[in-house]
Amino acid sequence: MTGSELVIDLLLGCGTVVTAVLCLTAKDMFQAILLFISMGLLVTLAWVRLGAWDVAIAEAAIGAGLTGALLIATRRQLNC
Amino acid sequence: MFNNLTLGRSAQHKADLPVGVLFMVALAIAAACLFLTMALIDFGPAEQPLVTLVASHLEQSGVENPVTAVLLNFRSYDTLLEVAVLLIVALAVMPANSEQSKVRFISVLVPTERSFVLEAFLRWLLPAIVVTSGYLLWTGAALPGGAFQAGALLAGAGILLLLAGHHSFNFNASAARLLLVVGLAVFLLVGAAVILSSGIALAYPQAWAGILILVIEVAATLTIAAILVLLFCALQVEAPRANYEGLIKEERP
Repeated sequence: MTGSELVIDLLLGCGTVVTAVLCLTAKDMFQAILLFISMGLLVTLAWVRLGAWDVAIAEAAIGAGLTGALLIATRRQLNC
Repeated sequence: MFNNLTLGRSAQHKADLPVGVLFMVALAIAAACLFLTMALIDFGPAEQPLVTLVASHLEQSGVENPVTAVLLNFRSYDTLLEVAVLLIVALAVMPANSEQSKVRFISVLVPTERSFVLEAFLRWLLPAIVVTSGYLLWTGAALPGGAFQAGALLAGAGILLLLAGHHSFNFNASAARLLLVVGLAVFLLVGAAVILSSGIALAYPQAWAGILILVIEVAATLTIAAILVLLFCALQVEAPRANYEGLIKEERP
């Protein structure tokens, strides 16, 4: 593994954890949902770096895309 | 349940725990994480007997992608149960209304507010999504892809169609009910039919494995897409909003 690849992996790993913490501590629910979607995209890239292409496609489509849409629809129902 | 969600976010909850306890919990979690990371680094690249096992039996599976081979041939029982779980989820959220079963599956309506950008965008995007989904399904035999990914993409197309507001889906229609169960039904039928040739349920004969897996995947894609759109539909229904507000306000101190 070359140096630049290590930097990318470290950034992805730390970015995922930081986005997860921000998502959990966000005061506004809409903000939390957006952070959750961003975390899903970062996790997708992490799966790509791990070579798990199948999981990456599923994570991008379900984890980042559909779950985000469902959460936003739920937030509208909660009306907060 | 929903009220707990909003209550959990309030500052009242945090104040219950003293700072010392929080610090100890954080320390314990950090130590556990550090220990697991060290263990992972020490462990090194382990021997992976499963990888070689799958690779050596890949030509018997009927597909070239090892992930698809495991999901739909070697461990197809797991995938069958996954599709069944999705159907149970669909039954749990489906609006049970026998009167609506006469209404057509897709009905055209006039949207309350039109988004011209979304409409123009969808005219190009929808065909592209459908074709991409079909490609993902077909390529799943040899390259990364498969029924779940294709179904999720197709569901995305359905949700975008709902957001544009010109169409609405009625999942109590008989066509929709057929879509919801076709994945599990085809999977079960194929799994039972292969007993005739191989004597074991879900053990496909080698010569037919590729085409049988494709048939199952096409049906599963339709079902997964339908169920995911149904989940979104169930949230679109105008709920008694005033009730929710009232409950939340009452329970807030």
